[in-house]
Amino acid sequence: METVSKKNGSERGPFFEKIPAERPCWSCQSEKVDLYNCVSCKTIQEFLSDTDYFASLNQGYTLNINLDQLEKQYYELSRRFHPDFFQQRPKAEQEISLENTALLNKAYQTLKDPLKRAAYLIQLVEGENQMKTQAPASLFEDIFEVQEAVEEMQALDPSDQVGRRKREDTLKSALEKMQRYQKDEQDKLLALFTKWDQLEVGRKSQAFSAAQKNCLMEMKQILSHTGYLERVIQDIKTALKS
Amino acid sequence: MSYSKKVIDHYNNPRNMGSLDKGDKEVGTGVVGAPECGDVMKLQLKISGGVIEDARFKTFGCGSAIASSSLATEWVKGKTIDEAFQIKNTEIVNELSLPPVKIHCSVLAEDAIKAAISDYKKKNDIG
Repeated sequence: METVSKKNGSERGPFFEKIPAERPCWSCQSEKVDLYNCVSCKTIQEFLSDTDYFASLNQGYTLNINLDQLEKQYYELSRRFHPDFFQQRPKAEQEISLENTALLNKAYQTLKDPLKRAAYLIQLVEGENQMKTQAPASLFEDIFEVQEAVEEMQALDPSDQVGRRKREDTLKSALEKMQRYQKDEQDKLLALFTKWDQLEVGRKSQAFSAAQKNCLMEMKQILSHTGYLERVIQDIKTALKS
Repeated sequence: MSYSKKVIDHYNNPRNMGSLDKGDKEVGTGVVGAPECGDVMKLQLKISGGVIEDARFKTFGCGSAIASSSLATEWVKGKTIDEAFQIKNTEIVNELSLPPVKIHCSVLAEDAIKAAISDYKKKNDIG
């Protein structure tokens, strides 16, 4: 799934507004500190405890991300904080380098994947730790048939080629149907990305708007269904290979 | 949490497990699922002259879901459609001593009975 954006990082979420005021440089006490370095003495700065993945990579809270720019930003920051460069430096700097690098790695792995990116944003806004998966009601019958076929296949006599083919056909057609469903849901999700971004760019207040939260709820619903089906799809693939 | 004796009994000796011919006009089929846990349940009723003659179930899910559907098939046999439609999930909860976290399994069984009956009615153009 490829995403393209027109803007990059120019919109700032609520997080960014408090950075300069919140902490002086730990080394020289200067107040002129940006997210990564002290402007005066250039020493690296520890991320604030609530630095989220978007903020750490200098991204606004938009969901259509330019992946090339994200990668560039990630490499640049990785170089800046790389532990190898701090081996001769004071212990405090070594620790900051390690911790910041760890956060940047997690941030990049999450944000480069559109599904993980959306799930992360939902979690960030809602404050929930884990996304629950839900079976889509329209596919209960297919899910049942899949489980039945998988079970029957395991019980089959290895020489029963006809029996096996029959179950394989059931599984293959269910797989096709579910993959089509996933594709449709992902298209819906991408449309919601665009809707979210429009709302985010137009956001005037500190907090995310009610319309934005509704948009996230819709995404959450889709992600919980596709997450559930992904497991079923893996089960089918495993059964077909066995 | 531990399962009650009755749940374990139904789990170890499920009653009426299996399938009936889906194409048979006298057979109503209900497939329902619980979105949260992913349990799916199929319940089939063979109905003749408004009376449920036979019932079969197949459930992929936890012990409580299996026990609820197993019990449901026992209860509906010999009942009229209308009587079966009146079965409430709370009766299943009481009979099996299901804990609060497993109440949704009994709801699933009630829904499955209703779904099977409506499938039968639809097949036979009964309003």
